[in-house]
Amino acid sequence: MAQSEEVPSTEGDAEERRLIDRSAAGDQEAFRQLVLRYHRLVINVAFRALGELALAEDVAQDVFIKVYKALPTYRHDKPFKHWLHRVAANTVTDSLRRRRPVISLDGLEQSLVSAGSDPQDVAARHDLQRAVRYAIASLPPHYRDTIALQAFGELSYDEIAKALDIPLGTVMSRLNGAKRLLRERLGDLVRPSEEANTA
Amino acid sequence: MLSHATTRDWLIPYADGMLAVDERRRIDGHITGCPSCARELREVRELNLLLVTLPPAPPVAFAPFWLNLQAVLPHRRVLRIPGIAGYRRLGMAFAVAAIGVLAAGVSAFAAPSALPDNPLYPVKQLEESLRLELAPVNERLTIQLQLANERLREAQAMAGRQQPAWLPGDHR
Repeated sequence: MAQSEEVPSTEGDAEERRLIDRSAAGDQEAFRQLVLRYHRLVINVAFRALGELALAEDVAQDVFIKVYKALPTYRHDKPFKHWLHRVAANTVTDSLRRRRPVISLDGLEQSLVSAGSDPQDVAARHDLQRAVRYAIASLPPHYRDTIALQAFGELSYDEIAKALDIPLGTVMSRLNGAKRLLRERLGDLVRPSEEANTA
Repeated sequence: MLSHATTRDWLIPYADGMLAVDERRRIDGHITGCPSCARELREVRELNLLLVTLPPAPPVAFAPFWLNLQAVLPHRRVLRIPGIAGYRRLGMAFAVAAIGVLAAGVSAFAAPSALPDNPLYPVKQLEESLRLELAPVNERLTIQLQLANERLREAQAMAGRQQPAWLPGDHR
């Protein structure tokens, strides 16, 4: 059984490699199969970053167009999924920065933890999430790219290191810096209330 | 016992679960006696909570997504290297074009001196007709005289070869 579990993985890798090579040569049917494999992942990253499905689909489309154009330069020395994550994170944060509105953080002091299903709570939660997204988009690029992979791509430290091709220690350092800045910029939004302290 | 500054530097990887057990114990030891670091850790966790609770996307149908994407995909990079048949067709086209150019060139140079028994003589006649048709009216008389001289030259040349100076068709 152990052997049969390993074989599909190897075959899957070989199949993916074949699809990538054919897509790089302009075969749209092969590219369709690649998109089929990864469209959920990319739309999810975009939606977590942007919060609107129609917009997330548009940005996901941009991601795949970039990927299609860049496939001839892709080398198989790093997993395709990590490379795709990196392209997706860059594209969604660029989109966020272009759309960055002027958000007043005043009045958004209600913590996400205390937000319930009440319409007012839901609206407050959406505003809070928006503030977090735009705070991430406003970070310096090396912090932004790193934390976007964690917050929007849900990657682990190790996966971020592979996606960005940097040492694990650098990932730790960047996430440390990014979160310090986010805490400064989000201010009271990340300061637990006294009730939360005692809970 | 960890210093205050060191503990603060490690709070984020601590909250992300990235520290080894002994490192965590040292941080725990500091935090229990340091309300300031404990409060900072709560802030870090609050931020992490905000980040992880960004909602996932609802399910999206693949077919319309692909159709929209396919409509804007560039079609520029279809790298089709021609096979042997493709190269053969390309070679044939070049060969035909080269033969045509060569034949036209040879005809243009050889026809003016052709005699009536020469296969290029019809080309010569065509060239003369065109030359006469396209010439301005005031030059046509000159050209007609030149053509008459040419007929005379042909007749002399044919007579020199003891052949009649009329067209092969007339000969029959």
